[in-house]
Amino acid sequence: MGVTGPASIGPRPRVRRFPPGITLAIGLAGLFGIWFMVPLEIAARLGLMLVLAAGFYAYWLNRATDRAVKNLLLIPSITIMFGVTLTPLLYLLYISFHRVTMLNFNGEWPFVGLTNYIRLVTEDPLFYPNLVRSLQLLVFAIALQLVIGLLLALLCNREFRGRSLVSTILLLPIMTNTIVVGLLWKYMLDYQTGLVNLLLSYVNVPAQPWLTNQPLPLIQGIPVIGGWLVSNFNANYGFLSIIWTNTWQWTPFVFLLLMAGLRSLSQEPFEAARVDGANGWQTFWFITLPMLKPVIGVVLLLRAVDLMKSFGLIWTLFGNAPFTRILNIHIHTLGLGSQNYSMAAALSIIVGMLSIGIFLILRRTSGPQVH
Amino acid sequence: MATSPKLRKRRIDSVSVFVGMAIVAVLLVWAFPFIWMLLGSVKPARDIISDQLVIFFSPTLEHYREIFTRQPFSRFLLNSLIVASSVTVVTLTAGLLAAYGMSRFSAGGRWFELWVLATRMVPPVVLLIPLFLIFRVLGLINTLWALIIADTTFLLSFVIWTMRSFFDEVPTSLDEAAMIDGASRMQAFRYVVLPIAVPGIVTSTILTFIFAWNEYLFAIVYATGTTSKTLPAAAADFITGYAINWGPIFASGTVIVLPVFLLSIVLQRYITRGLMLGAIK
Repeated sequence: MGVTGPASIGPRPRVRRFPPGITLAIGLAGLFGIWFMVPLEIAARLGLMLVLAAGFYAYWLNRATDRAVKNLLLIPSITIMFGVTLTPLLYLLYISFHRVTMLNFNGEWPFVGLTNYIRLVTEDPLFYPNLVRSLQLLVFAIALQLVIGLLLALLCNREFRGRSLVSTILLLPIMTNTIVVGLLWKYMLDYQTGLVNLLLSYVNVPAQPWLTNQPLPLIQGIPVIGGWLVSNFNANYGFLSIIWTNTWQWTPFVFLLLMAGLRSLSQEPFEAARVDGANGWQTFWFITLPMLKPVIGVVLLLRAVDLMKSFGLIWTLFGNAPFTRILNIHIHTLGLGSQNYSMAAALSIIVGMLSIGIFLILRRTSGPQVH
Repeated sequence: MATSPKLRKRRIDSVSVFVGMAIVAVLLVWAFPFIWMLLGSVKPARDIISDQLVIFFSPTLEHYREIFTRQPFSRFLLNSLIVASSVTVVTLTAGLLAAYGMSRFSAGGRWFELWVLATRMVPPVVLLIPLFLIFRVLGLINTLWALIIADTTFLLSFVIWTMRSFFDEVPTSLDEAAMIDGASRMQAFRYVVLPIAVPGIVTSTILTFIFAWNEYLFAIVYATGTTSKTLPAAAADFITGYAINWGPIFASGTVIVLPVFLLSIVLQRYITRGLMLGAIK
């Protein structure tokens, strides 16, 4: 158009409008023509059709009235979302109600109703342990990240030299590839060559088997319930390593959010508390924490959503070893390892509903400012 | 009374020293693993698996040579770049338009909004199996198309959600003023709203690119051949059933994180803002 800025827009250029019906007809004829008449490979034809559709789309968008623009704007996104999320989801639902494995994938798919779901819940010996592990990871990792993140934020909530350096360094783990974080800690926690055990040996602590399913001595030593916690609630080194690795990667994120929250608090209550002679602990417990509550709610929500997506850390640390497997990894193993597509599909649906459920519960409890 | 200011001053100093030490400790915990990885990538193989702490060693580039000459890592790097940039272009083009529509007209209504939100909340692993089967039927397994399509599933909703918040911050009176001056709706969008939303566009471009660059779940399942493998999947491949080849892992890990670190440091402001956008609004 040759228009470069708001100042030079001027009166709207007179566009000779084609009636929408005619342009639509031309466009559709073009698409059909390419699909049926052009002697090229499918990919090339699809590409040509895409180019033509994009051209017509731009043409319509630039000439549409406000009412039409409203709907036109969504067309690319809705098309893509329909293709890449809604279609697979419906397909997933369909598979989960049929019996589909590698053997009959190209043949008949018998309809089995809810059988896959029922078999998963009643017959799969790994379902409940994996569910417990997923939820336990959620609770422990969030608790640890919240405590450490809050401590860090309070520590850094003052002016000091190198403050921006702290934020920069703490941004790096968040942006690092999860696979790389997992591999890095797999090395750091190695029994013989890992940095953690090497450092421990300098303070005369014997090497710890971080990447095994050995029970944690501290928990196993608890009188009555120790053994029960170990056998049912993952009180082992491997699970601890998973929680720690996730905490290492994501505490900085919690820190960033809480830091921003702390800085946005109004200073008046703190001054009033100082005038009234409150000590540091009282100020924290009765003023900082209540005022920070909304931000903490948001942190909980975001971390919970993200922890429900965990996959890579456990995958790199332990692969699909049964003693550290969570539901997400169980989907992979059922579907691509055992090639039992319909069971994996049923599990996927359960995981999806579980994530949405957790999200809704936390959103309700964490207040209105989260959407 | 005369000594009290002095006393107070000294107390503050000891607190500062404590805080300073704590902050240094924090930095060590979070920065040192990366330094250890960088060092590991130039350490001779026998020093990496030594059961003593090796701090002084003669640096070597053998691991980088290994991944770039004996393994086709330049190809994997190219694959990663192609996937990440295509996903960024596609999601940003579609996402910007949709976000503007949602911000200005609540286009799509409540249902579309819920759908976008749901695709952000639900773990991508839920779509692992159906996409795998669809790609297998379409013959897209082991092509870059599979990765581009799969990454779009969760990144498009990210772009829409982020950009909508940015567009919401641009006052509607600006669009209206432009339209009173004779601009069409799309001209107002292009010449008035988009330039103001440039920080938001930068933010979502970078984050989308980094997220696609870091994506591993679909990569280790849909793209395992040389022509389509991306860097994270290639790095994970150094764990075999028998041994872990640490040197090349550190070298490839460095290749994966270095561009991201450079972006994070240079564009820290944008990235931090983008990460916090979904949270505080």
